[in-house]
Amino acid sequence: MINKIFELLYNKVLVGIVVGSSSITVHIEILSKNETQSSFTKEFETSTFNDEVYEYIYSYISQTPYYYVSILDYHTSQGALPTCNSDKFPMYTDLLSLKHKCYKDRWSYYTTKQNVKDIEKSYEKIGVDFIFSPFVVLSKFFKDKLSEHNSMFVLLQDDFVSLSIFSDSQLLYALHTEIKQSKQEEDEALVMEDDEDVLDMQDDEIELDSIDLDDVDIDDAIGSLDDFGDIEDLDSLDDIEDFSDSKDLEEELEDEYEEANEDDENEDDEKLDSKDYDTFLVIQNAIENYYKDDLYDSEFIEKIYIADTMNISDDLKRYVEDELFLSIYIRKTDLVAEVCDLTKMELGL
Amino acid sequence: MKYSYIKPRKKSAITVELKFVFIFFSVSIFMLFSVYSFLLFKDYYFYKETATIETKQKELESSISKMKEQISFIQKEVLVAEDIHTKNSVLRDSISNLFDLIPQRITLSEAKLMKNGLILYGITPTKDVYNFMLQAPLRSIFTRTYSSFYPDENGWLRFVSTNYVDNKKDLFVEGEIDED
Repeated sequence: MINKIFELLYNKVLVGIVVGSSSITVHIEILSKNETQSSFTKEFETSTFNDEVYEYIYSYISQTPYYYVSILDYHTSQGALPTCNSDKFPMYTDLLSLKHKCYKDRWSYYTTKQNVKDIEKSYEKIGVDFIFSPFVVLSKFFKDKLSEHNSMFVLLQDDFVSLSIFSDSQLLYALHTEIKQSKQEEDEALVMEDDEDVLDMQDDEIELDSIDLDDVDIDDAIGSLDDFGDIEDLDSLDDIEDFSDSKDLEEELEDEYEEANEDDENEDDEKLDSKDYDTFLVIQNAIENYYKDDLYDSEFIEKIYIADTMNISDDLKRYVEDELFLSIYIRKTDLVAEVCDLTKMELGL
Repeated sequence: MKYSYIKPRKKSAITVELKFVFIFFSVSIFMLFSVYSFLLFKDYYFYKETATIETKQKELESSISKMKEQISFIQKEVLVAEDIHTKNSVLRDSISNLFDLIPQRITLSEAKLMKNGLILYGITPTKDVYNFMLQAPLRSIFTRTYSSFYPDENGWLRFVSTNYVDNKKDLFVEGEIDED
């Protein structure tokens, strides 16, 4: 009774946290009498919960005892299963170390107990009230489309992809994975490193060849100038034109991607960012896995709905459409705000 | 429906410090009210006791006055009793003296003792016996003595002797003495 009175007196603060591999996005919503009064979003260039993030969040949560911290599960060891029947879980995964919840008695989502412990430990300074699965966010975001027949729903984050296949609101397949650097990118990174080594070596050589003019004897110097007799030969080099058309590294990467795509995808002339390409690979692999794996009742996928949190390029859309022959619909979303909306649902606000 | 893997922590505006403050103030207020109510009770009890004592005092005063009245009444009764006793003693002596006055030959049938007189009824063989043996001592006691005679069936005389004392001696007991 007293708590109810205090709840009316105080504002509520909802804190949504989405963790990426290199950044943490924090969304603050201040509610007065269950109406959003103001909201703020800030991104921190860190992957760990440090003092800067803590101070930012604390500046809001210290104003009221009624604050709720929600976090989107960012671990890769999570997923969703097309059943709520725990007897069938062993078909898909080991149930012992998992924490799972059933979604409307149709399908279930899970994470490991260790993941929950990790999150609670990492954020113990402010405490965590809710841990949400990206699949719940995805389902909530596309709840108007889930009833469609055989559609894929993808939640694209900077570093993670959560994809699920639904048919008539029933989950058929789900996958949560990290977008890893593709082999090509790694190769390019190696190339970059090699280039840097070459440049370093050149610098070293320049340093080694540098001359102190005080120590130079004019006769020796004139004599040594004879050594540059071949300078004119340099003009005759055909390769010099290649240097004049020097390209920056990004262009080189794009070129190499183009080449790779040409090789792998039958000379596709579209340019695709490495991350987009990796995303494409994840989607492609997931679809392949879904079609091939006997565990899943695979049916032909007709559409892909993408919840875009990072402004993906149109190239990816076109590329996937061309390569997989699927219709793609992209819907922009503010993921961290979605997490806060889930918090409101949990609290019945 | 609950979507979160974990349950939210219980939120409360009352922190541990606030709880201590509330407890402290609650205990203090409770103690103050306890003392206040104790004093109120004591005050009420004192007034009630005072009222009881006052009532008792009044009752005792009234009973004392009643007892005083009774004592005075008893004292009066004692005085009256003593007076009666004295008078009875005097009367007894008088009657004793009277019977001592009556000679053997005269028989008294009735005697009336009055406040200031004596009336005797009796039988005498002759007038002379009466005059000599009874009237003479009566005359020495009473100031006025009157005698009347009338004859009886057996030849004797019945007499009525009326005697008065003029010195106004209080003799308020009036009685009749029957003598066979």
